[in-house]
Amino acid sequence: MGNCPGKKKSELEDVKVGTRYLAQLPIGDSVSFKGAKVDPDKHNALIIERSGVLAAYNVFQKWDYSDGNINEDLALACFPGIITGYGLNFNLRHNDYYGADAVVLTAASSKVSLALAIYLRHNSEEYPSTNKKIIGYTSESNKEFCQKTGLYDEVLGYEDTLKPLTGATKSSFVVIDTSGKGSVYEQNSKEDNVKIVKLLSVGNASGTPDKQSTGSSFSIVSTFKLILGILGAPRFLLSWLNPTLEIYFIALDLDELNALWGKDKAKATQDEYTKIFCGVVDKNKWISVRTCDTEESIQQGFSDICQGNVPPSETLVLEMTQALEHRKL
Amino acid sequence: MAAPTKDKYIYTFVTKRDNRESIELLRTKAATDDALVLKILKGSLTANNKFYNDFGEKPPLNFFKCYPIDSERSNLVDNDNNEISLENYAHPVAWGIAQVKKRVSWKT
Repeated sequence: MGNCPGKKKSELEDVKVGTRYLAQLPIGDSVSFKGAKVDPDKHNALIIERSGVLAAYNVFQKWDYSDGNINEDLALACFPGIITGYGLNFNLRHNDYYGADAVVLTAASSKVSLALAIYLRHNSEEYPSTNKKIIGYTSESNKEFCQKTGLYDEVLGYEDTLKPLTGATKSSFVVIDTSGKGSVYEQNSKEDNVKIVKLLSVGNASGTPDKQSTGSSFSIVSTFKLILGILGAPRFLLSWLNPTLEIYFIALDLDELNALWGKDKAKATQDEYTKIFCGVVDKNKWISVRTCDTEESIQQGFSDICQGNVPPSETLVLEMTQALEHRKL
Repeated sequence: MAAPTKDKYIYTFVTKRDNRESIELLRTKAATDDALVLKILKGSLTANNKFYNDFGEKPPLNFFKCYPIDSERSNLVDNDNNEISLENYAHPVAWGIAQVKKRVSWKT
């Protein structure tokens, strides 16, 4: 029986007081659960016993970046971008860039795109810096920020279309779409000398309404694959479906890296890449951290985010304990 | 009424379901029967949070289902209007770091 006290005791004994975990949490000072267990197959993640939510939300990843070797606030605030950029980097490399001549990143100022561009530029013996041209799409207000990073060979506005690479009459592109702006695919697919060989849809950072979003260009196969992915269909089935436009499932890539390298190397590589991102961003001061350590500043930060008033060069860290401590007195 | 003692209550921010651009503080009496308690050390806010908010009630993501409000044990800190229904509020989620503070030890 899953809920008998004897079993809970044995599962909870592996949960050590003082261990830190990264998770999607409420904005507050504390959270409690009826049960959980440590999963050694997921790098000792804490698996919360909770029904009615997607299984992925119940995985609390062990947090190992509090040792001062890394800018912890930056790693926390940029985590979703870092992990997605990490997965995409190996996805592109292991799929030989889907045969494309160049890589296109929309929402080029987003943390996903910054992380991916950093990782594609990163040079190691096993994975040399890419020789593909990296093109960024961004809004007019963020062009200067993207250009200053030096990560992109070319920065385009959303009204621009792709052109064949220098010396070529026709070029092929792989698009990593974080913006969700359907116009990028739509306008470029009309260009005679431009071929989009693959578009991985990562998000909708622009908040584009459904009918104008990238998802509106999904084929029946794209939609079918999306549904299968959400339902947790077997990997072989998902791999067999290969539409030009498709949603990006980070979990599949992480599973593949685990299988390819083994869990220990996969975890060590992920940690290394987190450090690479934080090191580059910190050194170049591309992103500053706004610390919110009072109730009022947390409320203001939340409103600023929701109203789109936070530039890509800034991220917010909420010091929950500090902000709410006075309530406990 | 006795003054609230340390850890008797937990404090979280909630947003109105029909206006998700601001948050208010909620006080909830701590559940004594939960087996595991984590202290939330830090949170973060990025453009993704707007997405999490937008998909709060949309399947399959349903972010608002992660931390339902226990309306029996909770009240808004700065609003003592008893007419306000907490059904109209939800917990927005944010990536954060939590530390295990307490876990139950079953007596056998």
